[in-house]
Amino acid sequence: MPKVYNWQIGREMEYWYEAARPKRQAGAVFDTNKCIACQTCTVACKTTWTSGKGQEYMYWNNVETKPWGSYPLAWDVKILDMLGPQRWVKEGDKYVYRGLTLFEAAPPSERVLGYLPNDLDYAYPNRGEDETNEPLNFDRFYLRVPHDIWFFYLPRICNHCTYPACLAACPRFAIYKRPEDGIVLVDQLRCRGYRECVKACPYKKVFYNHVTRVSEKCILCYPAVEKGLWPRCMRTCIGKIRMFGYINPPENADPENPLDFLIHVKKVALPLLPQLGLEPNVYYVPPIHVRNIDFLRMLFGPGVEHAIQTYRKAMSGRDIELVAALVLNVSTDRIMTKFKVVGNSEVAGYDENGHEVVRVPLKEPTIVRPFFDERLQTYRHNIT
Amino acid sequence: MSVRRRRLIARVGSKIASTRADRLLFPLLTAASLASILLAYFYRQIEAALKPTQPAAQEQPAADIIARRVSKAPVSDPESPVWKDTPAYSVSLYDQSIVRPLKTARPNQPITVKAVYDDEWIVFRLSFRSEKPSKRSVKVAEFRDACAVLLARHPAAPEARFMGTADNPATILHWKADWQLDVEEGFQDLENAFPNVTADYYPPLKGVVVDGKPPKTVDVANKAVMYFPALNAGNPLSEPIKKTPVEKLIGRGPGTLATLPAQDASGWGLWRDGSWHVVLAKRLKATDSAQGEIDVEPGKLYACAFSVWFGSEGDRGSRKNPSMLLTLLLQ
Repeated sequence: MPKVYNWQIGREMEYWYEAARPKRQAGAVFDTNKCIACQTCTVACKTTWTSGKGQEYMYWNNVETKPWGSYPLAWDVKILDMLGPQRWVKEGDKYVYRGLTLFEAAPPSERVLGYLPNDLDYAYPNRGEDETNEPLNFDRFYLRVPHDIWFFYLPRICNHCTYPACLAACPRFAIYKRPEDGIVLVDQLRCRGYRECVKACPYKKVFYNHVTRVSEKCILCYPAVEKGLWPRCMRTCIGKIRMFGYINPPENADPENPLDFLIHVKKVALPLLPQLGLEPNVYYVPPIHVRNIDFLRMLFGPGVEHAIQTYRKAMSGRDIELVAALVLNVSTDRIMTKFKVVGNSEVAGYDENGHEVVRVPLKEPTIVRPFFDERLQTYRHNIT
Repeated sequence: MSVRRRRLIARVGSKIASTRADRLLFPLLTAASLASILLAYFYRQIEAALKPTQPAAQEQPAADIIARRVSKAPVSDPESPVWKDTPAYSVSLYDQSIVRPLKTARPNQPITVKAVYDDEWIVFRLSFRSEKPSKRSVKVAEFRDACAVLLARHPAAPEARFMGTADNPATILHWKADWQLDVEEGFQDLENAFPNVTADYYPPLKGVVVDGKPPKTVDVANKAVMYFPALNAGNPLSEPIKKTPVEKLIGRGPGTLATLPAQDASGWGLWRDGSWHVVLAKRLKATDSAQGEIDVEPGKLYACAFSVWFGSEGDRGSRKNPSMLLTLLLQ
């Protein structure tokens, strides 16, 4: 198999095809600290793309509660169990993954190590919702950071990977990665419903349509993206956890690009299960309140402690630029390629033509109104 | 040689024709000899023309499968009496170890192949063991039984058995158990696989959900085609109304399989006592020759191969058991 460079694992790896990075890569950063699992993203996607017959069980976007939630059932622990124990090694100032990726661990008869879920695996999209890592009791003081007892929400969409397992697994080239923006699509005319992609995708974000009998997946709302707009799940985010845009590889990182800044400069946003070797392009700011750092390392890789420290430092007011990049989340539905702090109090975002598309304060002003309103002669329940 | 003639020759040889009589005799003798040779030749020609014709021992090229000529080929009847008088060929199936994902297991028993043709059709009958027939592919982990016949020009490169080559495209007849069930019992819909399914709303179809049950796909597909993405794109696999269980395809190597525009193949499968008996038929004269479909003519040799997919073993696509490349002759 050809060798390709995967910067997330710090080394070359085997992949089914030669490396062919797109002209630019669409991607996103999700701040797990702000997600409230309202599922508005899920519903926005569902009503837009998967409300047809045969698509009932599909959630191109879902939000699951970690550590117990998963959709489809146990998608993450199943593939990690198949892969077996692997290791990261610190070499110099960086971590290198010295374990096997899904491509390298594939049996001789397969292209990718994977498994095909069954229907019951898809039957519990809310399994584990709001369940804590351990049973709550009154002996543990959990209202501190990190929490003794914890859970967090993990919103998931297709990662539009640089090295997609679904694409590698398809024996008839029905899946392709668009050279213009790196969006990974299933050609609905070429697909013959073999479900090799469903089996291969470790994130289980390719789905089989029961009625059309071929596979479908998240299209990253490419009709919107082509017009410079964010995908539906991102622009409807109530908790303002999401940032959509284009990501450069680290050697071409642009510090003025909000995504590059969060991923490459501050290293506060991390890929999901980078050890699988797909170089996913949705990044997560890890939850800062989770006491089990090993669990986070398993999910987000070895950079998780640094990311948490950096994030906490910014939240304590010691990194204005990082706060600025984070408050741009869902501040506009226009794709930003640059951002700039303006006068230490505001941040502005610019589209690819250099037009300012949004300007937001770094800190929302707080206005305290009197408990009793003299003009209306009434009391207020909410005074801020 | 007569004494007289010997003398004459001796005279010609020993003495140069010195006398006048000799000078006349020599051309006369030569002309007479020529005339007798010509007469003998014409006599043989006339004799051959007058004799009754003897059946010439025609040289037929040897073939692995010989299709028998019949007056009416049973294009969709695996139980036709025609098959009783047709020679059966035992064809071994192998693992698929060329294109990943592979199928490393192989069936214990060979399949049986029979072939007949008439003025219009060539028909194959494949029989293979399938203890647990898989007839549906609605659920995520459901895969259907299927079998296929591959035809290509002879001689063909050995790799042609994997869906042809760029310069020798393979015409493939692909029978699918789920397509047959769609024809036989109606489209195998969501509610066939999930009898307890309930629904409350499908956006473009106001009022179609009655008593919490989804509408039949065949009733709504044309009204909401945008909500069936592959159907909207024109994918024949997503068409809920099937006319035949056999798809006619063209292949130019692994990964290139494409449905041909004129879907005029025929066939039917019968499952009985743990075995499928499937007929697959195509017209002798190609209706998609522009796309590379092969014409089949009596007396000519063709490359052919057979493949079986066992749904219960998760077979689909390249996970299959193919035969080696064989030769086919229409007798």
